[in-house]
Amino acid sequence: MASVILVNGVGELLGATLALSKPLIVRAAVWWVNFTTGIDAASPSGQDRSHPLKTLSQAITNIAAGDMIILEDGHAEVFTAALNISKRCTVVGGGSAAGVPTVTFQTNSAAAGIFTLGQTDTEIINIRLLGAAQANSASKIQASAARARLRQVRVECSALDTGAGIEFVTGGDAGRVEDCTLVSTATAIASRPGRGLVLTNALPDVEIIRCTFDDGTVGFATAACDLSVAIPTRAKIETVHLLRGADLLMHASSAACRISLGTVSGGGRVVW
Amino acid sequence: MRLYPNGLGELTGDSLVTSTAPLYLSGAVWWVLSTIGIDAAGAAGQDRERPLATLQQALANASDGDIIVLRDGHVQTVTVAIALTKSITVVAGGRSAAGLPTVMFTLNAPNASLFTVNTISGVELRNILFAENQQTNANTSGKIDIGINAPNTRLIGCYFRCGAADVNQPAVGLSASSETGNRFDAVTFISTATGATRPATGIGGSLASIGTEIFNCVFDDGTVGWGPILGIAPAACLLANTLSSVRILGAQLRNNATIFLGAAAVGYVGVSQATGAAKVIF
Repeated sequence: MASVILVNGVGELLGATLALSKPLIVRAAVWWVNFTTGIDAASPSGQDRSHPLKTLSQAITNIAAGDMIILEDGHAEVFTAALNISKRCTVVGGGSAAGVPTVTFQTNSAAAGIFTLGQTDTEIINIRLLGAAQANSASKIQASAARARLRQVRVECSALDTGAGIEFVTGGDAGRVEDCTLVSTATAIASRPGRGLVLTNALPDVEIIRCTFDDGTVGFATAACDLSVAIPTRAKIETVHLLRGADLLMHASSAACRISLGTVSGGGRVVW
Repeated sequence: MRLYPNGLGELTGDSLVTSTAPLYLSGAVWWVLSTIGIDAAGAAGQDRERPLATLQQALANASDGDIIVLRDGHVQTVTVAIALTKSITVVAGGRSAAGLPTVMFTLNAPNASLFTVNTISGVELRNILFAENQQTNANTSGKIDIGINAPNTRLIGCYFRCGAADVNQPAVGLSASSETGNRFDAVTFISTATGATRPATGIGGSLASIGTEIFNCVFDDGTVGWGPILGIAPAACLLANTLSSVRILGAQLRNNATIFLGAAAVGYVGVSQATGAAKVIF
């Protein structure tokens, strides 16, 4: 495979470092997606920024393992079924406003999340996951393969989200959640989202680095970050911010784990 | 669970040891300082005021998941490779006015690595200066040899000075084909050689690895750069064989430094600074 030199980067003006890096040398294909201007078509469509695809789903179909998908500034999609990112790839959103990604995804389903990550080394950068459009019991992102990388992802959990924002399940070893924000946007105690982040199964080597857990007005029903369901091994949680009373729960038998705190406000707690 | 309300007591250095915010650990913390420490087995070294003298003793005393703090100014010369066989974080306090780590390790051996990481996941080395070899070293696996079944190794904020005596030895060698998820974060590799004999390379690997991440690292050719190894043109970062999902971002290529990635590698390289005739061969 030939290398591609993106002399001016991927053409975005704001957003993640990767989207702004100039030059960017890529040994893989780069695909662009824009829901407003794009048109879905089979490969090789989407490899020209001027002629993007419309949906991330089409891009996943078109790519080969290791490719990069650029979601252009303002790209917004609503799913009625979770999108399985079934190939190893990097998905990066362009654009940010007031520090919040401008690429958004939302689920409008009773029981489907937004993304399932079933391939190793999947990377998602600088996107915003909105609260569900209807009552929803699924996790917005569920990682079941090793080395999932989530960077600068903002997850908003509303009164309609009884599942988790980010969930790691069996197979999701060595996941890394970095510079992400998980916030409750609910406003009534009676209707709070379930959890921000949860490890549902015993997993090793999960890293949560410089993440912000924010209870917002009324918080989460269980906790903003729940590592108490199963026993994590070697979990490294560093410079985590617990805002407005956000709680971090650790399993009492956690082995080789650590937590260092950044900013804590309200009644933010570590329960271990 | 142990709570350190004021962090780990260092004034400068890696954020893990300088944070004044509470630190919660499931394991123990061991302190090491060569100038005042005394080596002893068992529980010795868990009191910051009574540190151990050597990293080897701390590793012997520690268990998986523990943290070893090398206090500001700790210096060690190593003649036999230190085997990192536990999932340990070794983190140094101290940073000079020039921004360099003040904890330093030097290798003085004819044919050895300084650290070997084998059959263990999650080893971390943070904020340590690795000086030039004191004698020419025949070892080609790496000053830090990340070997068999050592996934998720992390090097953070470390600084490698490589001189003429490092002619055969990469600063860090990915020497096994089963590497996954290793990460280099804000690590500097600089050639300090000034003559015909040049150090081998900064990061070197001839075998396949998967998911290697190199973020915000500095590769600096200094005056004369790096020497050719593996029959390949000189490079400050030389990953010769198949690398699935290699991710390099924020790379600073100074004084003509080169990143070379093998023909089968898949991934990306983002350069944030380049001086001289810096280049990426990908």
